Amino acid sequence: MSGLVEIRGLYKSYWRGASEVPVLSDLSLDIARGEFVALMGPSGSGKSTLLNLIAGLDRPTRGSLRIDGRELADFAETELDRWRNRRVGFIFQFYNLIPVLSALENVEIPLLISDYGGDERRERCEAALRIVGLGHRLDHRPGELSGGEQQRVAIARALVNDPLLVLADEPTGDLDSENAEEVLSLMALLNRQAGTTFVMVTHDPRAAAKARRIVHLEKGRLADAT
Amino acid sequence: MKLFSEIARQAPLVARQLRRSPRRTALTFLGLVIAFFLFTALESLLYTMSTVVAGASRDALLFTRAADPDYWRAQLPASYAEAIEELPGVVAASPVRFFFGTGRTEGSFAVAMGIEPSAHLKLGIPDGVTGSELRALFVERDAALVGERLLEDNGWKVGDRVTIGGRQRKPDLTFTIRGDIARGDRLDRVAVVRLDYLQEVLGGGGRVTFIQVRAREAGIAPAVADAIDRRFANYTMPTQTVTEKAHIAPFIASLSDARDGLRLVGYLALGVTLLVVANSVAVGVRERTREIGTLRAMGYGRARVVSLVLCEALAVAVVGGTFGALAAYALFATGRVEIPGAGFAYRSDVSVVVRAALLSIPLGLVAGAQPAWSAVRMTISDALRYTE
Amino acid sequence: MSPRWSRLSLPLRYAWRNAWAHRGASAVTVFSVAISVMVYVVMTATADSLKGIAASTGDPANVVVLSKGAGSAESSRLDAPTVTAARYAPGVLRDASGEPLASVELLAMRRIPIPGLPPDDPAAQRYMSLRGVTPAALLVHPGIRIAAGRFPAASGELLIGRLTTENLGAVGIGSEIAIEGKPHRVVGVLAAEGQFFESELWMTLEDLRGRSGDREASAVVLRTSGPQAAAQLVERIERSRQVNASAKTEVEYYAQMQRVSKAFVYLGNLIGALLGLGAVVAGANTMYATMSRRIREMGTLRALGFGRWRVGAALLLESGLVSLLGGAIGVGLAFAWDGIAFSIVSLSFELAIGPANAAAGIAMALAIGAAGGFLPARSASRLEIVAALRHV
Repeated sequence: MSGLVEIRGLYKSYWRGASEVPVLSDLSLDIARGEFVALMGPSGSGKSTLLNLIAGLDRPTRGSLRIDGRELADFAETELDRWRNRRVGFIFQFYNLIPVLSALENVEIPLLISDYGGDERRERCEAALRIVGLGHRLDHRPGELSGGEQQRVAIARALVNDPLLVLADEPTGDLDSENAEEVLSLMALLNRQAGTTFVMVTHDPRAAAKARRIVHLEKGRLADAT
Repeated sequence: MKLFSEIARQAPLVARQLRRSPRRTALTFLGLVIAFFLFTALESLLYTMSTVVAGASRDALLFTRAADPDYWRAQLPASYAEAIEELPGVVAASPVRFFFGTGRTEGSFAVAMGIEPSAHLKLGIPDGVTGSELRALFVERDAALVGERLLEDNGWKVGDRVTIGGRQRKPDLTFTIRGDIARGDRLDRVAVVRLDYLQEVLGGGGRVTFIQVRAREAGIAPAVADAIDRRFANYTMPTQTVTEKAHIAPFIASLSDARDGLRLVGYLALGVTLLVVANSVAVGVRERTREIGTLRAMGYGRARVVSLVLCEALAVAVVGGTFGALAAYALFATGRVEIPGAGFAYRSDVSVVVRAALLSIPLGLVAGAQPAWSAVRMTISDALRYTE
Repeated sequence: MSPRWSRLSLPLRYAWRNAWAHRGASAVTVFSVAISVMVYVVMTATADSLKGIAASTGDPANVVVLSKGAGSAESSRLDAPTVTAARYAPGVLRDASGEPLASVELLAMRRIPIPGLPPDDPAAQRYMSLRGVTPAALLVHPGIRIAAGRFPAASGELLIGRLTTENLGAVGIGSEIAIEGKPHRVVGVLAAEGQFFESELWMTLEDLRGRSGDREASAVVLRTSGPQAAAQLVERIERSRQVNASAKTEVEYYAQMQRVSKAFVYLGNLIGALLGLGAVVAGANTMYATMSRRIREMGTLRALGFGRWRVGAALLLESGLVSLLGGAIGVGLAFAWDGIAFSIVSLSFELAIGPANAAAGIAMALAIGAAGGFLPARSASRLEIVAALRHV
């Protein structure tokens, strides 16, 4: 398997007033294509920060972060936006769907700024929703869907653009155990059958168990990796 | 008293709420200021239009002029003034002659008004030219007091010796400017000169445009007017005596369409602002649904919560409204408000401002009514569980 | 659907549905904009209508002769010899019998009591323009026609302008109107396609001259063969030593009368600006409120690759849409006033709301939308993604 994510000597700090608060210190990590990685650690360990950096939502203070061979730090802001749009899928703890749009329209959002034509966009969206098992709920608004269904719409949205990797931040944090199980199984299935790369931040060991590799973070560094 | 202590206790809570979203409060405040400024400005315009002749003392002032519809040209003998003063109920009669000429620039007008200084003093016009200013006319035959706006229009200043050009084969009028008449005064566009000097220059056999008469009091003014007209009814030049108000009334009445329109605009502005304030307060209430639920759980009764919200609405409305009304008053107090094409300088009055500012109270109350009601409509448990 | 359209339609639907989602606040903005636009359109249309009267009155082939230095016909006085000299000036057209096409006219403003109301109530009187004319007036002023009845033939008869009912109430043929105390009977109604004359009361020249008995006139209106001939006649009269008067082409003369419309332009702009500012404030308030409730949503859009300007533009689009709706309603409301007659002192006119006024109203609405939405949109474009995603 080829290296998709290559991180070397990554540092990230935030500034609180005049003092520097380090969050990640000298972190190095490799993630290969087709992996399903769970990032775990106590709160404040920097796992969400690491995810944000991989996503290109934030820039590291120091160090190298290469994805698919390209150094993210070299990207200008608009290039980063474009890159996220085409190469990354997101799953959030609170689904982050747009309440005034239907499921189909929500899934279409990333495609709006791509080059796909109208017909192709519609096909992709419908296909994505079918994959997650919501092909019959295209026109429902998030308010009419259960938590689990909403998260599945979010997964469809994450997949619709054929991303290099899908990043999930506490995807089951707001779901009951039954729905959490459904969502995680779906992710695992996609990973196995379609080879979609998943990086998931979670504090729930049962969720982590669904992943194929668990990476522990502690105080901004890798603890022992399994 | 109880109301005040109640308000005083709510004040810190209200203040905190308003500070919670400073942008929203500031924008709502700004909207109120603008709306009340507009409303007060429009009401001031209307006030000027309807009270060009204001004050009880003016109601005792009469104009005696030729009973000819074209009285500006027909003119009266100045000698009538003496006869008028002998009538009962008349305090003073002052003959006045107007002269319309051209000013410095091509096509501009300049108006001169010839008066008998001593007679004019007896008229006691409260906002007219004062005795001390008139002294210049007593002393110098061809002196003049010129209104500030006329001075400005022609680039004249006190001390200059200037000329108003005669039109239609009339002679020019030259005089020395010895004083000015403040902007905002009714005579601020006129050059006041001595009648005898004006008569000398213009000729015309002792005729005047009209005679200003002061009756002893406003109540007997109509009777005095009748008496004057009867006195000269059989003369070759009979008179018609009217009060200033009657003189202006048809003009004002014919503007009623425009006046109604302006009034409507003012109230529309307030109406829209009421909605803006209501909406603003409603958003604030919605944001604090859980907090209000907590307050009620702690024993704050419905009435107290309602009064809290109403106080909030009142605070913004009254402060913003008063600000806007005062701003309009300040603007008009400069006396420089003019509408090109519509003549005189517009003024405002404390009564207009107070009335406008007071309107902010019912506005605040009505605006806060619906949000206040929705704040207590929910059951406490629902409120505590509320999420957006 | 073509791809381009469907790509645009989702942002529009997004904007509309969000506006609908907080429809209370949106309604306030719509209402604000509607009122501002309505007032602005009505006031500027009034100014245009007044200007229009001045512009449409005045035939390019006519010349108005006034006394030297007179600004308007009301303050002009021509003596009999001057009138004669003007009438027979070279360049003036003649009719079939050789008489010059010259209308000798006397103008006066008088207080007229409204028929049917107590005559000594000063508020029940109106200042009206009276014009003493001869039958030549109909020949010289081609735009005028007798809509009903006939031209006054003797003293005591009146031909009233179509719009004088605005000032005097319901008067028509047979009504009695007192002029300077003397009763006059209406024998005809004059129509003149939006010209000043429709606000006037016409009577015979001798009738208006009345008591003074002199042979003076305010003005003589001369008809020539065309605009060039008119210009030549103007010059000839101005330079003439026999005719001691001044002359203007009729078009030029009435063009000066645009003063009153200036007041409306000024007021309209001022009031419109203030109301518009109020609407901007209302709009900004609404947009800020909706923005702060969608911070996480906007962070998500940024995460999904939407540029910061796109995210801000979405808010601007919403603001523009809401304002546009308000503007359309405002223009619609303004049209309710179209065709209604109003009067300002002695001048009566019919309000005409034209496409230019409507377009100006829509433009104003869009400007309000842009101004109101600008700062919130800018705030939205400056959101920091990670913080926005963490927002409650």
